Amino acid sequence: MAAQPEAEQAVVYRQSSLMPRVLKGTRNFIVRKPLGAVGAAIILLMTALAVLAPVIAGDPLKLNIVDALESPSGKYLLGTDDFGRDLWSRIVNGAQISLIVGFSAVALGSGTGGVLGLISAFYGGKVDIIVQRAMDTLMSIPTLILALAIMASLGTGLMNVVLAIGIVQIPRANRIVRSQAFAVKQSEFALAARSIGAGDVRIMALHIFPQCVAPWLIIATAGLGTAIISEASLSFLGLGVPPPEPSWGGMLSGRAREFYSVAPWLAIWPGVAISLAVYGFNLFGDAVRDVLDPRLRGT
Amino acid sequence: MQAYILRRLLLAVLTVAMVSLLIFIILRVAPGDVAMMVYTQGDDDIVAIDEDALQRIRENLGLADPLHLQYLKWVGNMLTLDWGTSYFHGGSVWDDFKEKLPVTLQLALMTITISVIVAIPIGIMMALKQDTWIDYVLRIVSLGGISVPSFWFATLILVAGLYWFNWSPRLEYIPPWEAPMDNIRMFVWPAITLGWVTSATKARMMRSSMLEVLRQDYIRTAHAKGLRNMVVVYRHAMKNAMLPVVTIIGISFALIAGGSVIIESIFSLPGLGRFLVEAMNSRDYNIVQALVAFFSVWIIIANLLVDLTYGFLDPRVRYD
Repeated sequence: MAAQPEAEQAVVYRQSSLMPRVLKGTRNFIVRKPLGAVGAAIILLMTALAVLAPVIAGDPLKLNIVDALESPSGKYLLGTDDFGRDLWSRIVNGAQISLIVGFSAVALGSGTGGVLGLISAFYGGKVDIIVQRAMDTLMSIPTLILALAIMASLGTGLMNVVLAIGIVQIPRANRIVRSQAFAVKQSEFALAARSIGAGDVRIMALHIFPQCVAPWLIIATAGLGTAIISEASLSFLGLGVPPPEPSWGGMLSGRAREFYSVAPWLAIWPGVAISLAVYGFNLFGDAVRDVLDPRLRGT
Repeated sequence: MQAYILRRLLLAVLTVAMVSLLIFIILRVAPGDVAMMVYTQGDDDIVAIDEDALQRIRENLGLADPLHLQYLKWVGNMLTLDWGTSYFHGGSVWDDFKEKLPVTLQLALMTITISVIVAIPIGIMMALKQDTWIDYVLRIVSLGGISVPSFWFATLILVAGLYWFNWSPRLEYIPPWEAPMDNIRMFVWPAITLGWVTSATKARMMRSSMLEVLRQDYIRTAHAKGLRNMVVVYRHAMKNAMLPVVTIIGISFALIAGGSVIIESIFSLPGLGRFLVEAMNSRDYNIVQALVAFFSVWIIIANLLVDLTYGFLDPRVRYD
């Protein structure tokens, strides 16, 4: 009977401490990783803008030739482009495209790469050789050129951009997860799981994979900035998200370039948006790496 | 050493073979009917199709053969430098390539020179002053270098040049042997842009490799036996920290291959990168296939040279 109230107390204690624990964790992160916190703030701001786009901004595609090339003012916060489209609306809606491409491409690339890395390490031998030579092949084509080639082959469009950037991101996640999984595979608990009759999939998913999450997350967060910059580059070169969609990279290319001398804001804002977003993800990615992998701390 | 060289060479040849297969699949099998594109010349409104004419185009382009024969023929042609003709304007791809290669090579050499001069001292400085304000400022700046897209950086240079100095890049290429100063003037901004963007990555790599060395036991021993800090850094640490510089230069080649595509397009340099983008936009797959293959071989050779240099400098590598 004596144990009963103690257990109850423990439950109550845990419930009441959940919020403070999150707050405390957040505070700790801000204090220990101020730059990472700045990065996280930029990401949150960008996400908020993307989600609230319909409320805080107008139609990014609405043409208004009368107001073409207006400089930034109260009516048009960041000015208008050569078609009289509101730049603020286009930047805010462009955040949606960047985030969608960033997260989906990384999910696809790091996901596929991670699973292949796990399989490659677990089975070893021929499977490992085949998977790793395939990765060598993917890595031998410069990333931007591979993405461009895939886009040239599939045609422009948002889904194809995700696919192209995702494929390019496969090898890095693969290599990282594979090397970690190799070490874990030989650990005693993996052997113990085998000895009580666990199957391949169960061992990989429940015993090896959890040990690979940290390095995998590090690579995935590092990939977000790269993915966003790749999307911008592809769209800039005319092989990404096709106009008139408000892709940040696309806004810096094409006809708009002819108006830079009269409307320099056309050259400024989309670039500021890309750089700030990627900077945020990179700062955050560095902090995540430091927190998750103490060995690399400060390197 | 010989066994190591042989093994790396075989691996490189295998990789070239696999890359060629991948390129063939991406650019010849996936995009659909190239003959139709050539026939319509990019005009989607053509309704009446002359089947005989289409078949002739297919035979001319070698698209009527079974896929594996097409692949072998393509590889054979690439190796014998018979790179075919442009689908659209009919010019020889190899002739165009020969003309544009020096531009990209010069850009690459200048970029690597600039970025090595900038990145390596900065990386070493960051490591030596770890966690001081110097380190923080340089880290924030170098992370900025990674985050700013090269095409925007280049655009800003162009806009600023136009705005304040009424300067714009020259459109025609000037070979160095004709007018060396004009040639340098033409390349200096593209090279600085690409050099700055790629320096950031390299400075960060240099910093972590230097830090790794500084934490080694033998460095602590050197300190413990009372050697001056300068001696430890320059005589003991530097030697081993320079190894990754080889990798860094190797990685430069990969970064430049991708970067040249963007930078050459913006600064109107008539090099291979711009050639590739133009061919992609007009779906000229013969050119695209040849150039993607070229850039891949460029990377594979760079990686091979890095590995061989490593094997030469660090005997442990040979026994892996």
